[in-house]
Amino acid sequence: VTAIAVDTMTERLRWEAAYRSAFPRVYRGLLALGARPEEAEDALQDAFLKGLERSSDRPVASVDGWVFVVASRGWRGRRIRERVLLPWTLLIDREAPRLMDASYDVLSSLRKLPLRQRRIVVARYVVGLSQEQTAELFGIARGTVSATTTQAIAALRRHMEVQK
Amino acid sequence: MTTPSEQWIVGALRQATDRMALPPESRWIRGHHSTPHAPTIAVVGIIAIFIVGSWSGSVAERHFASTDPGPVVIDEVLGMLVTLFLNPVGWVGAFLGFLLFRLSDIVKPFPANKLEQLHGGIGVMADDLMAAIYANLALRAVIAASNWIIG
Repeated sequence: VTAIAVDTMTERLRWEAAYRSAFPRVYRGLLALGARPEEAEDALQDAFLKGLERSSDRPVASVDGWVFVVASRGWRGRRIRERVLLPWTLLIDREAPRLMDASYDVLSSLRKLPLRQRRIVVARYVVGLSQEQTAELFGIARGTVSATTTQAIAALRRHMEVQK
Repeated sequence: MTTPSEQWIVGALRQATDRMALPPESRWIRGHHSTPHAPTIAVVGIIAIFIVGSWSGSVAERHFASTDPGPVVIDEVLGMLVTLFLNPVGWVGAFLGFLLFRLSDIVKPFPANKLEQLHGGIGVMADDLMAAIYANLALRAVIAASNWIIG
């Protein structure tokens, strides 16, 4: 029993360290997707607990990527529930904070992309996943990741040129 | 990633996100889910209302000399509690739950129609309880469908 308890504690500490290491990139990735800071914190919180609950027999290729995928899905689900089921009055001032700084043009352009493109761009360039990791975590082909990234970057460029 | 303008966009994206402030480290791990439920309290409340409603329903039936008298609304209170049980919704969702519960209470799908025929306060409460279980599942399905369609 003691050995199992020690194993469990070791596993928890290992997961906690990996989660803490992933937190900054994934948190910023969620904000880049369009989450509000408190939404990003909540989504990460839930991902942390899901990570604790999942079996250590099923290791993940990238902790950062796994946390990002779980947290972004959780955020999206919560946002949908809010949009569909909360009164409109509660949604006033609940959108993602406006980006006033000119250097944030790229982020406001990013938020105009479809969620699918946004997720892949953020996974690749904010969270820092490789094409292979992104494809595996999203359950799509590597070629799809490459094509979606190219389309998204081209769309970002168009949006930014329009802004200028 | 071939052209300089594309590289510039990726660089700008990284630069912009790197400037985002992080929350204090003490908030990175809270140790509980972001939407804490209190299912135990809800279950205790539902059971208590069912017991009180069954007793008071019997008393009210004798007092009004009728079956399931109109002034008795504790069965609807129980119904709404059951409809919203573990369904994390706001006011619009609660209103939708109310409509689903009323619909289910009017249609009375099996076995609610059979439970309605029970004698005394149990009969007053049990059919609404069953109708509310259907409404709870329907509301759950609406939430899941909205997640699936939009997300």
